[in-house]
Amino acid sequence: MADPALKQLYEPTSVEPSERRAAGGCEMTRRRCLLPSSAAPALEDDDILSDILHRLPPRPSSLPRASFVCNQWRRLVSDPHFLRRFRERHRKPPVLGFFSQWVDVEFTSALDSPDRIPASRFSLGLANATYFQIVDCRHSRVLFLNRERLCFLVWAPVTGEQCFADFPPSFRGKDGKWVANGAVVCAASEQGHVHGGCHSDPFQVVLLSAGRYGEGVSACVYSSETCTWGNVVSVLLPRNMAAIATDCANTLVGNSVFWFLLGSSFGVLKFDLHMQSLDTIELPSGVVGFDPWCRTNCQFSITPADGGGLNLLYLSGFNAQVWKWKVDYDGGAGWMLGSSFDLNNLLSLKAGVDTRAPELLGMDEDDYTIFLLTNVGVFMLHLESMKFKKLPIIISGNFGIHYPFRSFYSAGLQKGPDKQLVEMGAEALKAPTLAFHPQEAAKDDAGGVLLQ
Amino acid sequence: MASAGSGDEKAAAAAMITLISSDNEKFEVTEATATLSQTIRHMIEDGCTDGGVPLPNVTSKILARVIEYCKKHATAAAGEEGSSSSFSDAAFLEVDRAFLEELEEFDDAFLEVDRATLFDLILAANYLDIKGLLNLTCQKVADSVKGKTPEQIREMYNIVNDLTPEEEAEIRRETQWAFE
Repeated sequence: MADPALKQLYEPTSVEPSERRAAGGCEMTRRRCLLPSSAAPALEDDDILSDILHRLPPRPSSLPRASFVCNQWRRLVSDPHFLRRFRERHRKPPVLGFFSQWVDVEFTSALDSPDRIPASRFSLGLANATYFQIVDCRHSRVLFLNRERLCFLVWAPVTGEQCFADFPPSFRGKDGKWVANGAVVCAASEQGHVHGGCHSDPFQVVLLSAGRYGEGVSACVYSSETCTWGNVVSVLLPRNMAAIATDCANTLVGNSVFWFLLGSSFGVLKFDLHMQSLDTIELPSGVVGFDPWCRTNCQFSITPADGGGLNLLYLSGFNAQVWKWKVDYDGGAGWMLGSSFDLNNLLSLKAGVDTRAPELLGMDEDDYTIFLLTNVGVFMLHLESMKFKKLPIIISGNFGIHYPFRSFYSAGLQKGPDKQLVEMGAEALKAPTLAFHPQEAAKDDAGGVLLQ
Repeated sequence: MASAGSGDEKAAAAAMITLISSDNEKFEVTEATATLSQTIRHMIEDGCTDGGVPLPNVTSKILARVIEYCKKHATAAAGEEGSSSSFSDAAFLEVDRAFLEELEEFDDAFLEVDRATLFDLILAANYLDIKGLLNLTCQKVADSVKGKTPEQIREMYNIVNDLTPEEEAEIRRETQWAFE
């Protein structure tokens, strides 16, 4: 095959079929005239089979099953280009289940068989896991804080990768400040990136620290790309908001992460990832009997609104209210009651006098969806369409926050527990402080303790 | 739309393309129909179509079906283009919806073929680079695989399992739950 045009024609490529065929000019004319007169059967052609397989539904069993058909199928569905196209086609990964923590962190599948991933598949596998408190789950990763050892752990359950890093020096309790909460976000910068398979992409961790009453709060961002902490940003809290709520999930809306603030009045703390700024917003005064200290009576969640806005969901007994954050043309902003509905009627709970009110288990910021534990089971409720679905799961004993875990599931990604490395991590955590301090490391040194 | 549509047809009628199947059958189609195929579009642009376009990979049976698909979709595309200049927004949306519904019905009926024909259509759509037809036919195969066990998929499509017992054990160890 001396002729380069012929060589190009017969050489396999990984580009899109249309790109493969649509190049113009004389060379293409020659190539077309030389098209082979017999084509391989459709399923033996990698490009065609790939076109077919990336149309499989994004259910977790799809790709493992396809990889079990034969070597060709296995090779194709494990190919990184294929996986990228698969994610780009489906855009939104499914909610595989929930991570929650009573003592140990637990995974509960939200799907029916054969998509029901067992809890043992997503096991943290750390000897002293109870020191790690789950505070966030987003973009294929889970964030834990270890306030004993003053470090965080970012875990990618699908691949099993774990990354530890120490808190920044000013967040290590020396001046009475302690880490109150945190958030993990994917930091992939490629155009058209689809979240849900972000295991190998860089991430950022935002930590919030709170000092004594009246001292305000600070935020600091860790970048996995540079393995360093950024500058500390601080803001004074209004006098009526004393602390950052530690038992509420945060929410990412656009480029900002929101946490709840507690005190004699209630508010929201906003951290803008682009501007690196902190800000506070008071909650609507129209919310009656708002008592965020008591999760069984009142529950609340910040949710993204359709079109990029901000909503506040407030549950009191069987009543739910959705407040919308409105910004006027002249720059003024405030909360407006958007809708109010009765969960007993909506979900046909047939609640009696003694029926326990629904618990807000969790919220899925990617789909305007909340998860409610009721007397008749767990419901998924879409807040824009008000469509709901009963999930095939049973929650008993652990009524804490359930963090929805959205991810694509690819076959062959699991690296398997590497005993030595896991033990190395555990060993590092037994030491008085972590064996590795990214902020003190030499520039060319790897940052964090990256396991596997 | 009527006037715009007939204008398009007149223009298209002036340029007819001859497609020649592998069994030497000749098909006369309008340029609008033929250019749904990117491969043929490029041949026309390169002035490569005099004396007909030989398609040695496509039999007359399959080419007739492909042309049927292209005619329907080319007409719909011409109709949409024409309607946008002649209708108010509301009427345009109405016409648009009617077109889409009709096309969907056509596509559903078009896919009512046996498995061998479906795969021949995929090969032809791939060779001729007809995006819509390739999407449609590949989705049909993907839907048939959806929810099936690997054994069922192999049986359906006569695929030989060439995985070694070790490879099978490895996949099962990682994702046993997906096979239950």
